[in-house]
Amino acid sequence: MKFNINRPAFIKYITDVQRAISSRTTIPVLTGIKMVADKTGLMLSGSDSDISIEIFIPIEDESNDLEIIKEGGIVLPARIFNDIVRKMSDEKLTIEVGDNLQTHITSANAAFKINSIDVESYPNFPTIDSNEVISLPTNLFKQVIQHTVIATSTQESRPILTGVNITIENGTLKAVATDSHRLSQRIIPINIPESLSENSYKVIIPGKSLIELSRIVEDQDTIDMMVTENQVLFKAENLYFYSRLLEGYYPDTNRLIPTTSSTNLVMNAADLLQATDRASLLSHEGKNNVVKLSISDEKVELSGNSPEIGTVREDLQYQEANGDPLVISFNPDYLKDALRTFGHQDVMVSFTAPIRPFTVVPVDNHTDIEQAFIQLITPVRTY
Amino acid sequence: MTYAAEIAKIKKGQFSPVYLFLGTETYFIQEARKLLLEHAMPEEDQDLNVGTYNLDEVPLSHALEDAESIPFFGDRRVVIVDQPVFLTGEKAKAGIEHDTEWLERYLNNPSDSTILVFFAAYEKLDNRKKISKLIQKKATVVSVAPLKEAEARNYLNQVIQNEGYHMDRQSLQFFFERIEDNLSKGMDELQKLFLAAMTDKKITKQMVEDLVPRNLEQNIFDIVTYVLKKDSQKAIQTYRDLLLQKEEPIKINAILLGQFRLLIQVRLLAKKGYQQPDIAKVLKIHPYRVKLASGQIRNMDENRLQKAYLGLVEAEKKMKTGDGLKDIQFELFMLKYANQ
Repeated sequence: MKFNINRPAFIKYITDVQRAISSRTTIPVLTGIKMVADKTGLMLSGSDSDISIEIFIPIEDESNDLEIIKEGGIVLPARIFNDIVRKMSDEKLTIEVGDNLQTHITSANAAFKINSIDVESYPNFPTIDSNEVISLPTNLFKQVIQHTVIATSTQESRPILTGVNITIENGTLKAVATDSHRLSQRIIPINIPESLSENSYKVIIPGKSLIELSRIVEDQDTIDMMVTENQVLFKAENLYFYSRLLEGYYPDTNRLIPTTSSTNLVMNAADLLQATDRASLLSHEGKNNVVKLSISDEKVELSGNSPEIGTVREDLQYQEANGDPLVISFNPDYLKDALRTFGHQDVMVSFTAPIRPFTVVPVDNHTDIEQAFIQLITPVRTY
Repeated sequence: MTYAAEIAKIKKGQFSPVYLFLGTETYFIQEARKLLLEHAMPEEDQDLNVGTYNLDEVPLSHALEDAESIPFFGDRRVVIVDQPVFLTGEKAKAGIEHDTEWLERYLNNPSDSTILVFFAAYEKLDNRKKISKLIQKKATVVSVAPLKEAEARNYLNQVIQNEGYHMDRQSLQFFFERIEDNLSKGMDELQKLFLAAMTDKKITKQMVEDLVPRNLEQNIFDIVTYVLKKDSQKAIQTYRDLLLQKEEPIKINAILLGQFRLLIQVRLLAKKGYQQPDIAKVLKIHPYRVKLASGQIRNMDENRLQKAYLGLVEAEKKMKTGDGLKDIQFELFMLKYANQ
C-alpha cells in the first residue's frame, strides 16, 4: 500500500478515528488504526469493542489531495502514528508499506519506519442491515445528546443507567437518562419514512458513545441511524459510527415525573446558574455538598455553608414565585448541570414537597409535545 | 441480634435504618442481601432506588451522598456498602479516602427514607476505632459468622427436609465430609443434588460421589493413602487431576509434606503411649485429623514413612531450584518410592 495525502486534513481524520481507540484493551490489535486504500479512496478504522469509527476519504474530494499509488492495507499503532503525523512539518505526507510489515512515513526531510500489524488480523466490524434507516436532524440530535448525557450514571454497578434510553415512535424521538438522583428527558419530532411509520425502536446507547458521537459529527443536515439487536450505526456523509447497545430493560421513568406542583419559581436560567455556582463555592469546601433554597411570600433565598469556612446567602431576582412556602436542599452540581442545558432561557422550577423530586422546564416550550424538555432533580433531606 | 430473628423482621417489612452484617458466611450474606431488597421495594423500583458501593473502589462519601438523597420513587432507598475496610485495622486501597466523620453524623441522625446496609465480611472489627464502636452501638448488628460444625449440619439437614428430600445417615455423613461442613458450599451443592433426585426425592451416596467435587485436602488425603499403599497409578492420576484444576505443584507438594510430617508425629507419639485425644492436644489439631492419620498408618513401619517424607523433601527442593520440570517431580518421586 502507498498513498500521498494532505497532512493537516489527515490529522483531523485520524484524530476523529482515534476517539474510538483505547490504549487499555485486552486485544492488542485494537490499539492500532486500520487503513485500507483502494481505487475509490482510503478507509480509516478504529475500535475499542464498544465504539467503532470508520471514516472514508474519497479520492474525488480534492481538498484532501489524496493520491492512491498502490492499493492495500495495514494496521499502525494509533497513538505513536498520530504523534508522528502531527509533528511532521510539510503539507504533504506519504505512507508506504514496505517489507516485513514495516511502514514508511515521510514528509519533507523526515522519514519514519515503524513496525505494523497485518490488516487481516483486525476484527471485522458488524454488518448492519440498512433497510431501516431513520434520518435525524443533526444539530437537534446533538442538542438532545448534550441535554441528556449529563444525567447518565458513571457507576458500573448499575450498567443500564450508564446509557441514554432512546425511543422512536409516532414521529418522535424521546431520550431519557437518569442516574437515580436526577433525570433528563428530551423529546423531538422527527420525520420517519412511511414504510417505517408503524415501527417503534427502543435502544439504550452508552452515554460515553453518544458524547463521542456529538464531538465527531460535523454540522451536516442529517445523520442516519440504523439499529440491530445489539449495535447501532450512525452514518453521516463519510463517517460510520458504531456503538454497542446496553442490554436489559430501562426503568419506567414516566411515573417519576410529577404532573402537579405546589410551589413554582420562574427565573432566568443563567441567573439561577450563577447564583447556584456562588452558593456551591462553600458547599464544595464542606463535607457534604448541599445548598438550600427557601421560598416564602416575600423572598426567594439560596444559601450554602461549610462549617469549616462560613456561610453564603443570596436573595434571588426572580420573575415569579407562587404557591406554598418551601425549604428544600439539593446537590448544587445537579442543578448547575441541568441549568446549563437551558442557556439564557427563562425556566420554571416546580416543587411538590421538600422530600420529592423537583423539575426544571423552559417557560417557552417551542413545541406542542408535552414534557418535551424536562430536568428532574432529587433533593437531599434538610437538616 | 441473631440472624434468624432479624431475617424474620425483614420478611415482615420491619426495617432498621442502619444494618451491620458482620461475619464471613457467604450464604447468609447473599441471603440477607436478597431478602432485604425483595422486601424493601418492588423489583421494578430497584434500578432507581438501590445503590451498591464497594469501598475498595469508591470512597464512603459516594454511599453517604446516596443515603442522604430522597428516594427517586416510592418510599425508600437501599444503600449497600461492601468492603467497609475503615471498620477494620486494614488500610484502605491507595488513593481512596473514607470520610468517617460524615458517617458519624449520619449514624447519629439516619435518614428515615433510607436503609443503609454495611456488609462487613470480616471475622471482627477494630474496636479501638471510634467509628467501629459507634456503628456497633447505633446500627442493628447481625452476626453472619460461619456456623459451627454441628449447627451447619443441622441447618443443611433442615433444608433437605424442608424441600421434601430424604438422605440416609451414611449419605448425609459423606455429604458433610465432602463439603467440610461449610454451609455456603453445602447450599450450592444441594441445588445440584435436588435436581438429580427430583423424581424420587432420594439423595444417594452415589449422587454425592458423582456431583459434589472433592476439595484439595480430600484429594491430598487420597494421594497419601495411595502413596502408602504404593499404588503409583492412582496416586499419579489423582495428582494429575489436581494439576488440571490449576493447583500449583509446589502447593500440592507442601500439603503432602505437611500430611506426612503429621503421620510421622502421630506414629512417634502413639509409640510413646499417647492416646488420640492427647496427641491432638500436643499437636494442637482437631481430634478428627488424628483419628484419620491413625487409620492411615495402622500396620505401617516408620522407615516407609520416613522414606516418603524425605522423597517429598527432595522433590520440593528440585521444584524450587528449577532442577527439572516442576510438574513431573511428584511422579518421579512416586515411581521411585513404589519400587523401593
